[in-house]
Amino acid sequence: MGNDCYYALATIVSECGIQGWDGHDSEPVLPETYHHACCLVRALPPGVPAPSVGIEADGHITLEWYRNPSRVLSVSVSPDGLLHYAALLGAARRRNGTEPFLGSVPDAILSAIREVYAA
Amino acid sequence: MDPLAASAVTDDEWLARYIVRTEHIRREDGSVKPDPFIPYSRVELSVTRHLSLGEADIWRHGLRVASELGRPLLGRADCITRRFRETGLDVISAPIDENQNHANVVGWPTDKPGQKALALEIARSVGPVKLYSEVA
Repeated sequence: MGNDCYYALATIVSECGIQGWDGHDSEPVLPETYHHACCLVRALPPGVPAPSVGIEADGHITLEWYRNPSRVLSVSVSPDGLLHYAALLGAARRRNGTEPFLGSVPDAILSAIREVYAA
Repeated sequence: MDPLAASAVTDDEWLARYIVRTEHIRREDGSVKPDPFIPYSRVELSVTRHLSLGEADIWRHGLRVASELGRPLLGRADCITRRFRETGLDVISAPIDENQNHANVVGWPTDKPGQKALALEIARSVGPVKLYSEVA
């Protein structure tokens, strides 16, 4: 997995590691969240595209796999190791849910990543 | 108070969500991610109604919002009210001192995956972010 992803994660933590980083009542990105996000990226199988990194006001780090407006998966990494995800997988296909991160990428999320890039 | 600002938000009204973080804009095509559409801390999302504002005033509101956040204004994501309501949400006029055109998007589910699913749908209908750098 490219260094860009880890650099983006580190940047998010440095910029959003304090309460109210958005000027309002946003939650800080906790060290636990950063740790889970890094471990999740590291656990991605070879050949899986690197996600783009983002941040939500509740302090969750987001990892997104995007192909086009109708094929996208967004995963929110929480400090307690839960992965909340939602996906648009073409036409009218939608998927969302929560999976615990236990060290390997949950099947539901890996499956969604593959569907984002499926022909 | 401007009576127009206190009026009910109609389906045809355009709403602005200002973008101040580069991570919220996709490099691939300049579209907006769902991240800035996730409601927090109350289960509602702040937006600015275009109403009768000209482009300059819409951007002026954005500069104020960005200034309060201590961030540079990067752009804005415009979405028509009808799109929010089609997903089951509602838009309620909520003027505040700093922004008479302020409104809240309400009716979000309380579970995070449900919020993300709606945010994805809304972001998809926005299209490319209007960049402030192109008008400044």
